[in-house]
Amino acid sequence: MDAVLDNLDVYVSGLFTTLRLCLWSGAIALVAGTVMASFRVSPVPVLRGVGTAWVTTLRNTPLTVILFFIAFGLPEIGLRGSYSGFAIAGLSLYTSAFVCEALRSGVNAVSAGQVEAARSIGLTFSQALRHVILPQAFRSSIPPLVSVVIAMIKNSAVAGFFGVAGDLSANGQSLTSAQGYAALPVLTGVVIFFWFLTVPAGLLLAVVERRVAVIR
Amino acid sequence: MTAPPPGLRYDPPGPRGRRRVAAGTAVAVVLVLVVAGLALARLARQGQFAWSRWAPLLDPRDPSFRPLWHFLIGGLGSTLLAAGATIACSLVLGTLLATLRTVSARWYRWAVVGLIELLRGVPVVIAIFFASRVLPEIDPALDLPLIWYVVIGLVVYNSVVIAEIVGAGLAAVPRGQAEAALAVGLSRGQSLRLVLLPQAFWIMLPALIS
Repeated sequence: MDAVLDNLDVYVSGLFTTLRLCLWSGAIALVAGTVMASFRVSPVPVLRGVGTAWVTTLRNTPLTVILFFIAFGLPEIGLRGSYSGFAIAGLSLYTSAFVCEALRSGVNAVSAGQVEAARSIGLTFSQALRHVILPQAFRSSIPPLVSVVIAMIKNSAVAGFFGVAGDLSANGQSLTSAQGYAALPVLTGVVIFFWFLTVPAGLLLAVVERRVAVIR
Repeated sequence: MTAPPPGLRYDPPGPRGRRRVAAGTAVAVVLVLVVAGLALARLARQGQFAWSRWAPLLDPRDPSFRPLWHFLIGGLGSTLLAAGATIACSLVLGTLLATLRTVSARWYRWAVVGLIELLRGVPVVIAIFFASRVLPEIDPALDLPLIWYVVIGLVVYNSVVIAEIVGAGLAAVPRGQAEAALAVGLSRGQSLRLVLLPQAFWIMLPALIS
């Protein structure tokens, strides 16, 4: 227990590093996933192909392997950056595939009448997507999207093993190995601090589900 | 999940639309080819395509070819072993947890639910790290092959995920089934085992596979 209390500042700074990592990755993944979802439902065959390829590739590659490629492959061809930048890139690429799929199922759940109405008042496909389809799709995708975000927060723990300094998992690792604290209390602390991020997200989901649930 | 027929979301593009799509595609293909060419040129300048780099993977006469493939196939074997052991153990544990959750009396159900919810919030890497660091600390005599720490960590994580899926599957079996099972005199355990779980299994199969 002392191991956690003595290093509370290490944990708190780790919490904020993890939070920053997740906010950036989440925002980028949300945008990229939305773009890919619109590609996947668009009338242009090439864009549909791009979206499908994106999702299939990223969803079927383990996150660890993606991070390996980015963190150790990019510097080898001369693209250098900070490890947290690499981690954000890898995490958001990986997550965007899941965001895309969650949103696409939301798009498919928008009732046909809505889409036909949009078309019959003369909206083009992109107008219908922006003003009619996506706003409704987002609402009905909120539960799966929150699950994706919670999974992403937990996946961000992998980043600590890829040279990102100072996030929760890296700090736990250095407390147990470099500083020789007993593993049980230190890692229990890491887990509890992850709960500070994931449990509120789950509770938020419960509230949001009740409030914006689409009534059909 | 099948998409509604595309005709619902947009009219099939007419001649002008098709021309625009073709033009846009051509431009995009050219752009992608240019970017890919630049990237490949950069890789080539740095000697990433030198045959000596790829020979261990592709050339059977290379001295490293056999050890490398041996290593990769060994890795595939270990991955399959870890995955198989994890799937088996976490299916059993997950089903047990879900059953426990549905049959438990109110005074201890919160403990089962709490356990599931808390374990669900543990990152899987941390679970594996936990197993590999904490178990030897608790019992220094414990000398498991490393792969079992992976399996333990994965089982802890996946059994609660599976418990959620099984729980949802059980909830999706029509109520009448449980009532009918009780009405013909099955105990709650029997009705779960003989009536509810077999039906829930088919409902949750897609989620389980993913």
